[in-house]
Amino acid sequence: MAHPPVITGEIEGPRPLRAQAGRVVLTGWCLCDGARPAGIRLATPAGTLEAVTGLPRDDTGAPTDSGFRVEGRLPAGVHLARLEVQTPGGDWLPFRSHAFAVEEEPFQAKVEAVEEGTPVARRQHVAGWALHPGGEIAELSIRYAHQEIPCVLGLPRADVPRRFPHHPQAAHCGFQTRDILGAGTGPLRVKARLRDGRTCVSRTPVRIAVPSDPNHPPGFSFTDDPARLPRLALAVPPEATPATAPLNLLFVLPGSFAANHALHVAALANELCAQGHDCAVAVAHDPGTLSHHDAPRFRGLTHEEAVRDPAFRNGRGPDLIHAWTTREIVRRLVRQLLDRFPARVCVHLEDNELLLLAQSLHRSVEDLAALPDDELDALVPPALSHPRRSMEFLRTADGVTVIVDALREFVPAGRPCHTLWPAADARHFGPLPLPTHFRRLLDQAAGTTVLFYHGNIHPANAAEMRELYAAVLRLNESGHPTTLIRTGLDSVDGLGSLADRVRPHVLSLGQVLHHRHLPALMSLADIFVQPGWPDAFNRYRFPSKLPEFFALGRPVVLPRVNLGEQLRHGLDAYVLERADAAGITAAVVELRRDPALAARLAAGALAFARAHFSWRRSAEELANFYATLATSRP
Amino acid sequence: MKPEPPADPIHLLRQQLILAQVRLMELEDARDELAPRLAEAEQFLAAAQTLADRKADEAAHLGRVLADLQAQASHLRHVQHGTHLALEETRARLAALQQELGDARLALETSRQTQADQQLKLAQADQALLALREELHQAHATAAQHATRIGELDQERAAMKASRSWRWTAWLRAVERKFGGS
Repeated sequence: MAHPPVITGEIEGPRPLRAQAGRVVLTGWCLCDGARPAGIRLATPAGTLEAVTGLPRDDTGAPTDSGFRVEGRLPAGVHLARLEVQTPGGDWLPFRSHAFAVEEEPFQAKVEAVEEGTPVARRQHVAGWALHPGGEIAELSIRYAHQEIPCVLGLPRADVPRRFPHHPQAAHCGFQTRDILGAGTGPLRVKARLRDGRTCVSRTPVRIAVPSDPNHPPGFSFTDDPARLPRLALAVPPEATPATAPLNLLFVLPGSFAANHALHVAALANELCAQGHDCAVAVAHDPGTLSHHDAPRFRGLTHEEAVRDPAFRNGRGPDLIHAWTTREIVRRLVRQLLDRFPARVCVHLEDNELLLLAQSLHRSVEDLAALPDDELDALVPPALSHPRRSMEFLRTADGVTVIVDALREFVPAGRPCHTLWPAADARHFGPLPLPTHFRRLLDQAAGTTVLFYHGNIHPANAAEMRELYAAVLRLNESGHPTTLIRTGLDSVDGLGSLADRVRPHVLSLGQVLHHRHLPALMSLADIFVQPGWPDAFNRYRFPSKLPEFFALGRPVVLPRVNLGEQLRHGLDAYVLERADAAGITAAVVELRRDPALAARLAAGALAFARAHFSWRRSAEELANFYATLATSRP
Repeated sequence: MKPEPPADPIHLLRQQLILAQVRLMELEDARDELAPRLAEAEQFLAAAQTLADRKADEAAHLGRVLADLQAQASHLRHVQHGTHLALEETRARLAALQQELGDARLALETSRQTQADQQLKLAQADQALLALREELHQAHATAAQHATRIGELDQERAAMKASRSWRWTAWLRAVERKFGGS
């Protein structure tokens, strides 16, 4: 019996082996019993491609004509391909087997009657042919610069069927633009929408450079660099200090991941995860809003999932539950969780909850305090705090965190308490230069002042937001052109008759879905203003936008309440006793008249941010606080 | 409550200018997110292809092994047929041998019976022999006694014949023999 021939060789080319745009190109070398084989072919169930053999090689240490190359086309799909070698006896023997991915032949378009390499400057129709080998084109247009011109399809072609003999559209794949070219400069693309819904684009070597049209007068520049807003060049943050005793931490939120306080929790949870703790954050609704956050390191859960299985890596339950506020929906969930898990409980306070409840129910705090339990139970919605049950919740908590020291007034005596200042996400919020080019396009008048405010208008802040709008109106009416750029949604209409007059001076952008996109918009601002004054609402809150204002390095105008009590007027910020319309107007005028003061406050804001706002520091302090908490339950 | 779009076209343009920036940032983010995912998908595809190639090689190898095994199985079937025939033949021979063995056993049994009979007869013969030997012994003893007696008698006769009387009467006896009868 004769010995089977020995076949050696290799297929070359980067993996995955892939026929791009349907075109197979495969190279390599092969020897059959140490000699050039009689033939080589690529055999697939969809077809066979013969190789060109005898190509020179100088790297195999064998006969120099051992190279081969397979070229051709195969139908799109993944084929199990066998490379076969023909022996001197005429038999075909398999040499290699490969899964071979063949891409669909792409959409093809050819633009004619224009000279390639020479930009088309004349206003004319553009014609050519367009065909998708794998589908039927339903609509076609050409695109360049900011222009998109629809095309008439179905013009006869005699040449294309020779290349695509089996394609039903080949004989009528000619096209022509419906209109002549408009002004614009840029490479020409042909865009098609197929009957199956797919969209495809074919780039052409043609460049359009039509200088003007009736809508674009001569001299209109199409080649200037587009104005762009700056984004922070991210520095790689240093590694967090690893925790000596990692914990399973479960944060319970009253709303979704789209809420402001979710930004705080997300930032803390990310930092705690970086320390080695295992963090999960449970939200009451819309868990999909987790996608609003940039690269969360924690797990997002619904309240139901948190009770069923918080899915910590070690399979145990939470070591500590951090209840974000005393709101009923949070308190009830924590009670359910404690029935299942022997965890410590920490409660976070960030608002005057009784005042929020009173405002929401349109009653006074005193009225609510006088109501009997059953009546209160019926009145208090899940999204707000129950005056009595919340106090009981705090009394039984192992620890309490507060966003401002004033909230310690609500913490029962003897409960461990820690003040937890918010910060700005250092990945995105930092000093950004004023985009002067963009501002020149945006500003309606030279010397315009841009104010920026990101946040919703709700019953609790409607009055002070009205003051901000009134200040913008006053500034404009007093000859100080001012634009307020706002993001966020409004749940109340607090402007009344002011609305129509101030509207020309306010650019409302609505809700910006991703918080990380705000800094670029904020960079447009000359000054940040937090309206308000000392009252029962502001005394117990810490507007979460303040650290972000400070991080941008612009002068900040704010009232002497909450954070404002910690700041030095004229150094860290422009601190007003009352940041109402009159105060804000005066502050903005002064800052615009005194560039040195503005520069000093911009630098002061940045310095204060660097010294006091850091999620990493806040998280480290929080972890230390957790470590001090001993459970008060058996 | 979403903000209403501004009525003033310039104002609207300014608003859209900023929102376009937001859109650009979203597209940049999408691009930045998709780029590594695309690279990762490429890696997965390469890994999947390597795996598929390996599996294809394994399948080819298994195909060859299957062919070998099928050839071996065919050969074994052939061998089994021959073995079966030989087995049948051996079984037939075995049956014949068992028959012969039965016959032999029967013959042996008969022989054993005969042997037992012979042994019984032999024992009886031995008994008879012993009795005969005893008789012989007694006969020998009697003979010996007789021989002794004969000797004694011979001696007595010799002595008698040697006596003077015998010799002196010899004549008488000769006359007796001659005339007296036998």
